[in-house]
Amino acid sequence: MAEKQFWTPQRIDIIKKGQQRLVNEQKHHVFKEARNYDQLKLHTLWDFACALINEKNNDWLAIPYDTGCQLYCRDIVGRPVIQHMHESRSHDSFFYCKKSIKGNSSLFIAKNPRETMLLYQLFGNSVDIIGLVEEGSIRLSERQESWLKSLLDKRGYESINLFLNCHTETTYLASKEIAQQIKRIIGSLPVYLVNIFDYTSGKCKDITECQMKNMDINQFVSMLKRAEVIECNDSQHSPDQIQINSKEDLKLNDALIELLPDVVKDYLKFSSPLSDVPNEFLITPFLAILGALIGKRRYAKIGGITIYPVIWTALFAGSSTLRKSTALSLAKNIFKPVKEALESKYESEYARWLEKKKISEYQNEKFNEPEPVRRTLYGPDSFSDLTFWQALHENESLVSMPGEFTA
Amino acid sequence: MKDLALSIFDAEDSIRRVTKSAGSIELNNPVWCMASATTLDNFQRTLTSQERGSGLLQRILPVYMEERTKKFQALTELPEPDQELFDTITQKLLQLIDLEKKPISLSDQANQIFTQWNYSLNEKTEELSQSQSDIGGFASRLTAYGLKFALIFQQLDEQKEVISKKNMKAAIGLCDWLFNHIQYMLNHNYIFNRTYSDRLKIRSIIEKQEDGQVNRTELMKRSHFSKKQLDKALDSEIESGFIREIRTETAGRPLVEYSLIGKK
Repeated sequence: MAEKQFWTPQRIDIIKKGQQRLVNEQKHHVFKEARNYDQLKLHTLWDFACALINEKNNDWLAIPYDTGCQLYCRDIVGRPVIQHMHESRSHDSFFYCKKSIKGNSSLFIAKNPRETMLLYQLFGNSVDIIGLVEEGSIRLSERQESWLKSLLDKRGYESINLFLNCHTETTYLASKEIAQQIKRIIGSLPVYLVNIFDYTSGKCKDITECQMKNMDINQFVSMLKRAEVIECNDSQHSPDQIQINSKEDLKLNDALIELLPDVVKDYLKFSSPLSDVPNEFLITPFLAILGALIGKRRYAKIGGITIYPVIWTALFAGSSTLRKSTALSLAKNIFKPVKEALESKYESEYARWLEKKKISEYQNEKFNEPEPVRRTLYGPDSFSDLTFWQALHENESLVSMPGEFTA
Repeated sequence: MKDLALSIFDAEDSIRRVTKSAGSIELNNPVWCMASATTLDNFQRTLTSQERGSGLLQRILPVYMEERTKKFQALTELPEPDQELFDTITQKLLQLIDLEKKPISLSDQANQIFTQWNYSLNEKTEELSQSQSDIGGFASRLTAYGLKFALIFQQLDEQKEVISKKNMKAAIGLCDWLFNHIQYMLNHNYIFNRTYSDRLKIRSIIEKQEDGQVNRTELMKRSHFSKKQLDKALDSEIESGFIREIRTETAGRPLVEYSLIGKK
């Protein structure tokens, strides 16, 4: 089946109108943000065919590329918000403009469209510049590979410099992975990974931050001289050996949901509409509380080992905006009647115990019955606390739900 | 403390902790569950070099999401909770309060599919361990989670003492999905400890030496590490068998150089 062309006449029309808006509305907050946060100038945005458009009830800086269009703005506290227009395929192409590929001897590859434009502002006359559309990718797609290969064949560059994230071990390794992939594509041509973080001793992580700190052009040049030479590393990371599962594999699928017991399905059905927490975050906290509720009253003896329903889970998100804590709260919320029932059970047991104790005392009889324990589901968050040990001793099973996980 | 946490995870028969104020506290097969949340940055900041090998991390089921899977909703757009559904769910949960203590076994069919799954998980893990050396520890804990989920699902379903094929299949499905999350995090090096990048840097510096050896001063100079940072990275590398220390006695201080194991 032929692939659907992203750039339909309607979409081209939207961008054209948006380009006019960008010129006319230079006081618009989206343009101001691109200028103040990203140091981008109007002529650069213009060269890259950027536009000011309204999509999804919001004004965005539209950043078009061959197979889609990135939408960019900042939220009220200044954090970048990045989306893509419907049907965009961000892993299928690079970001560039005609003027950024003129046939210079070196090629710079930036980590995202904004950094591409910034590099273009700085070095546009002397080097060719392209950028990744999706920041933080760890592999180029087949289409990106073949596009890059044809560009390299056509232009005959002498070297390639990559300006990718290197500010954490994760980003450094991911960037190195991409650099090695490019090295494999081009063979003998030298490939360099420019580690801005390392060069600036941790002061800047990218070109934008360097610009904000007024780094001069000589420092940039010296940074290039200290870039890491990338060698092919086939023995460690050949594409055949690495089985990279995609983000899609992380999503809950209907087939799995169908397998789950009705109560779990009902819980998903109940909780899912109540917030925009990903459904993926809903299941394991619910099961962890269930584990504590069942406690040691059910166990499986397999071979020589006994298995109790001890569940430890942690929700991880790339940023703090995916409502992880809400997922924990939703799980707690559904167990509220259980908590109340445990409380009222304790109160009636305690009243009965007190009554029996009083009668024994009245009759001068010895009373040995232990005082009922107030059972709860939730324990202290840190197991180093004395209260944790006492609570676990009294309850025999508990769940801790710390809002911020530390190993 | 880490050892205690591991004992609790395994719900050992007897776990004793001596406290100053409350004397000795003994726990017998305690069931302590944990559900938590964190951002990647924070998680990596708090990890120390020991966690990777301690087995603690491998016991935690990670669920990792990078981006929204639902449309953003303003608070004012959220619907009222479905009370009827809430009552249906809580009715089932309330039944679990008074469970009697009983062992659970696997039905023949559940046993069969669990065994098959266990074998296939093992095969997959062996294959993956060529590129992800850490995956084995995670996979072996996941096997136990398969049984735990099946146990929980059975209690939610019918509270019978025999785990049905259906609930075992659900447990396996859930484990396979969680295995994707584990693999994804390992693939992206999200579960590595914080000194790992330092270790890679040291390795790459040695790799670039013509004679495959480098002394400490040169390592310091090229890595821009502090003394403490370098020592930590070198110790971890030597301990893990990636780097060897070559010591040459001299009339004065011994000359110490480092090389990669298997490279020279």
